[in-house]
Amino acid sequence: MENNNLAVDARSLSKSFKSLKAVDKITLQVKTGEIYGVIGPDGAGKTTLLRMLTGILTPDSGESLICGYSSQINNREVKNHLAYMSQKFGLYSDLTVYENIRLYADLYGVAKATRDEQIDKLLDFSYMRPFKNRRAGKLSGGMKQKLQLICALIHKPQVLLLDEPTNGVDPVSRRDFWRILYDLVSEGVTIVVSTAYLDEAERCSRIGLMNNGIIVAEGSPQEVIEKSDMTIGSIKTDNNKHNLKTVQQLLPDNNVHLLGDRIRFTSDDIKSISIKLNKSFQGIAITEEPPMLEDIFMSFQEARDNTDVLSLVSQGIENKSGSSVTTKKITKRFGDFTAVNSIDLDVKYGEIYGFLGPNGAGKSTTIKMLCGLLTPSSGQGMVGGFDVTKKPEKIKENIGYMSQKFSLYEDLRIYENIDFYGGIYGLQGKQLAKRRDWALELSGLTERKKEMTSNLAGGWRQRLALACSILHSPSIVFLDEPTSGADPASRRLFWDIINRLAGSGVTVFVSTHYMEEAEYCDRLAMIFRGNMIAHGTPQELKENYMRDDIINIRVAEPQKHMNTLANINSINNVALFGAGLHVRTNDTNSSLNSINDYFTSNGAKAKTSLIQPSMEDVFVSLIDSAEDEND
Amino acid sequence: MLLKLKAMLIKELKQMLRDPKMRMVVLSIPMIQMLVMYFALTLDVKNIDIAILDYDKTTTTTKITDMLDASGYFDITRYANSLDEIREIMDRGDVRGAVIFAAGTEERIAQNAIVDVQVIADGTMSNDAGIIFSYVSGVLENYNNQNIFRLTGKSGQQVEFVNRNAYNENLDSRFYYVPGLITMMIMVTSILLTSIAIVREKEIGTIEQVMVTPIGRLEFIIGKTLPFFITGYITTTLMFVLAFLAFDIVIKGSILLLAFFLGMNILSYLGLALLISASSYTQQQALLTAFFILMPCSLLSGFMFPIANMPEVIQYLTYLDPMRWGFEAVTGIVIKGAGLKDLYQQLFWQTTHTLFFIIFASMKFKKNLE
Repeated sequence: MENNNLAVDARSLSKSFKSLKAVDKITLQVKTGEIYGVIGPDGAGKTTLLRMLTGILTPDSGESLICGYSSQINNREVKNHLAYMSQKFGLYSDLTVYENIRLYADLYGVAKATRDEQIDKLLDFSYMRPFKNRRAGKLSGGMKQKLQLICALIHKPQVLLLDEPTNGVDPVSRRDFWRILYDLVSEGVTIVVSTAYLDEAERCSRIGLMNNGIIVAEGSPQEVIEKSDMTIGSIKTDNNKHNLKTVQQLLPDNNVHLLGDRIRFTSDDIKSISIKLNKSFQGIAITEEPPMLEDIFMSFQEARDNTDVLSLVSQGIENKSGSSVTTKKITKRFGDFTAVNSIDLDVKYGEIYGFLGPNGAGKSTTIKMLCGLLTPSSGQGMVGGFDVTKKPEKIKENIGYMSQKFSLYEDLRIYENIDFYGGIYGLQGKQLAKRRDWALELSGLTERKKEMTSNLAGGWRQRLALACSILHSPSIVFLDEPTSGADPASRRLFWDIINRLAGSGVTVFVSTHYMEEAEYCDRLAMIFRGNMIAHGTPQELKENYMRDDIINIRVAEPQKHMNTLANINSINNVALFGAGLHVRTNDTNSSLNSINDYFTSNGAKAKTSLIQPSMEDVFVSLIDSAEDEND
Repeated sequence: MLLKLKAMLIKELKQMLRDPKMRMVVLSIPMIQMLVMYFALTLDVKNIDIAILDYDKTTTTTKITDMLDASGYFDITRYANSLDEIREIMDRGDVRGAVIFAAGTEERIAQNAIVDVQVIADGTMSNDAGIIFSYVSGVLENYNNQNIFRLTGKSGQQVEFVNRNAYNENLDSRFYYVPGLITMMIMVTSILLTSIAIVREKEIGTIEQVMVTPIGRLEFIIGKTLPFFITGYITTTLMFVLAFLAFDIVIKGSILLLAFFLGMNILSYLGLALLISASSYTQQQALLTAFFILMPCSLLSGFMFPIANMPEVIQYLTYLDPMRWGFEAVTGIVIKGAGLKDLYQQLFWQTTHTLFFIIFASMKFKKNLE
C-alpha cells in the first residue's frame, strides 16, 4: 500500500473480448471521499472497467486495489469494503422493500441487533420509509433504483461502484438520487459512477472521459473543459429547427446542433464562421459561450458524416397533412387503478409531440393505447384515421413503435433482425435490401452486420431498434424513451433523425427523461399520475406554468449549502442543477439578498444570476405543485 | 400474407437451429432417450436372483433346483441355511425370492404323498412377485409331468393347452415398447419445446414490438408452430428409422396412414402447448404447467397401464388424453397393420383433439397486451 488515501487504485488494467480491446491499460486512482465519474460513448468499456474493479471480471493484465485490498487476490476483503450496483435490476419483485433489504443484510451478515435500526436509517435517508411494505415489483423506476442503492449500502461499504444508476429515471428522482450520493460522500464514502447524463458528470469531483478502452481526458469537470481549449458559438434564429439544416450545410465540420433555444457549433475561428453564416443569415449575431462537457465529449468522437443517412430518412414517406392523432377523454383503468385519466390530444402530421412525466405517470400506457396494444377503458382515439378500439390492426400498418423494452432478438445476427422486421412489414427483394442497407447505415452498424445482436452495447441496440421500427416508412412514429441510456452522440443522431422525420410530414410521439430534449419538441404534454397537468409549446410551458423565478447559483460543493438556503423564507425550493444550484422563489429581490448575505458571511465564492427557467425547472415545479394538490 | 409468414418462419428456424443445445434437444435427445428407455423399461422378467433353502438335500431337491436354474428365469445366488438367513437377505434386497424344500421331500414323493414346496417372493413389486410364482409353478409342473411319465408311462394331464400369441408371436416386448416410446417422445418434445415459444418472447419483451406490426394473428401462430411441426416430423421419422435398424421394428400397416396420424397427433400437442404458452407469464410457469400435463397424459394413455383395468370414470377421462389416440393409432398401424376402418374411433378423437386445441389456442392468443 503506497498511498493510504486511495480508495481505488487500479494499475494498467486490460481486458479483451476476442479481438476487441474493451479496456486498454487503464490506470485509475480515486481518493477517499471523491465522486469519480466515468464518462464515455456506448461501448467505450465503462462497464468492463467497473466489473474489473469489483473483481467479478478478471483482467487480462494489471491489478486493482480497493481500500488497499486486491480485487483479484483478496476478493473477500474487497467485498466487505465495496458495493456494486449493476445496470440490471437485482431485486426480488415479489418481496417487499423491507424484505429485500433484510435479505441483503443477512447475506452480508449484518448483526441482527442493529439490522432493523440500520434499515430504518437508510429508509429515512432515502425517503423510502412510507413504501417499506410495498412489493419491489410495484415501485416506480426511480424508487427501484433507490432501493437497489439501499441494498448496496446495508453493509456500510467504503467504496461504491455504480454503473449508470439513473438510466431511465425521471429528473425529480435523479435529483433525489444525487442528493443521497452527496450525503454518502460527506460521510466519507468514495463513489465511482458511470453515467450517460452529462449534467451528472458535472457534479463529480473528477471525471475520466473514456473512449475505445482508454481514458482520454481526466480531471475535475472544470479542468477538463478548460484543458480542451474549445470555443463555442451560438445563434438564435426565428425558426431554429428549420434553419438547423442550413447551418449544418454551411458549417459541416463544426458539430452543429440544437440546444434549448439556440443553434450551437464549435467555433475555433469566429470570423470565418461569421462570413459563412452571413451567406444565409445576414447580420446574425454570434454569441460566444463556454463549452460544456457535452462539447468535449463530442469532440473526442470521430465526427460521423450523417448527411447521406439523414437524407434517406424521408424516403418513401407519404406527405400527409391534418390531424394524425386525436383522442377524446381516453382512459385506461387496471382494476381500481386509473393509469390514464381522460386525456385529450390533437396532434398534426409533421409535429414532434413530447410526453414528459415521472416514471409510472401513464406515458407508456397512453402510447400503448395509441398503438393498439391496449384497449382504452373509455374515451376515443383516432390514429392515422383509424379508431384505436375498433381498428387496431389497421393502425399497426401505419405506425412505427419503439418500446422501452428490448425489441431485438439477441440470438439473431444484426442483419437478420432487420430482415425479420422488414419481412413482417411486408418488404421483400430489392426493396428490403435497400432498406436493410439504409437501416445498417443509420444505426452505424454496416461493418458489424454479421455480428450477433447480443454483442451490442446499450446505445447501439437502441439505434438498431429505432431503425427497425421505421423500416416501413410509417407516417406516425411512437418512441417510448428512445434515448434512455444512450450517449450524447447517439442522442444527437436520434434527434437529427426525429427532426428529419417531422420535416417530411411524420408525426413523432416521443417520451423522454432528458429535459433538454423536451425543448426540441414542437409541443409537450406533462403527464402526472395519469392526468395531463400541462401542455403547450416549450415556450408556453415556461411562461404559463412557471409562477416562480429561478436563481442560478454557481458555487463549489453546492450540496453543502442546500439545507441552509432551503430554510430562507422567500425560497420555495433548492435543487441541484448541473454543477450548481437552482433556487425557486416568488420574491426574487429578497431571495437574492438573502442568498448573497449568506454566501458573504460564509465566505464561499458564489455567483448568482436570475435566469429563464429551464425545462427541468418547469418539470420539477409542476410535479411539486401537482403533488401538493394531491396530498 | 405469405411474405410475413416467411419472415417469421426464417427467424424461428434460425433461432431454433443456431443454438447447439437447442439442436441437440430437438433432434438427438428424443432418439437417445428412446434407446436408453428401451433397454431400461422392460416388463420381461429374466435372471431373477433367488435363494434356495434345502432342508432335504436329496437328489430330488437337487434336480428341481437344477431345473429352476436351467429355466433361464432364475439366478440362484444363495444357498441359505435357515429361514432367518432368508429373511435377512430378502430385507437387504439381495434376492427377490426363495424356494424352500422341507425335510423328507424325496421320501414323501417316493410314498406318493403330496409334497409342498414353499415359494417366498418379495411382494414390493407386486407384478414381479406374481411372475416369480408362475415361473416356479411352471417349473414344478414340468417336474411333475416328467415324474408321472416316468412312473406310469402316461402323460400327467389329459387336457393340455397350447397357446399362440397373435401379432407378436414371441411376446417380445420391444414390438410394443418401441412404438409406444416413440409416441411418448413425440408428446414430450413437442409440448415442452412449444410451450415456451410465445412466453419466451413475452419475457424478453420482443413480443410487444411484434404485436405493433401488421403481422396477422394466424401468421404469428403458424410461424411459431410450423418449425416445431417440421422438426417434430423429422425427429419422428428418424426414430422410426432407428427402430427399424436397431430393433428390427417393421411398420406392418400403411406408412401414409401412419404419417397422417402422426401429423394430426403432433398438431394436437402443438395446439395444447401454444395454449399453455399464451396463458403463461414466465417460462417457468409454462414449463411447470407442461410438466403437470405430461405426467397424467403419459400415465393414462394406455402405454404404461392397460386402460381396461382402470376404474370406469377414469376410462372416460382417458378420452381427453391426446396421447391415448396417438398411441393406439401408432401401435395399431405398426404392430397389427391396422387400416383406417379399424381405426375410425382413433381418427374421430384425434381429429377432435387437434381441431379443438388449434382453434382454442388461436382464439386465446391476442395481438395486444390485455
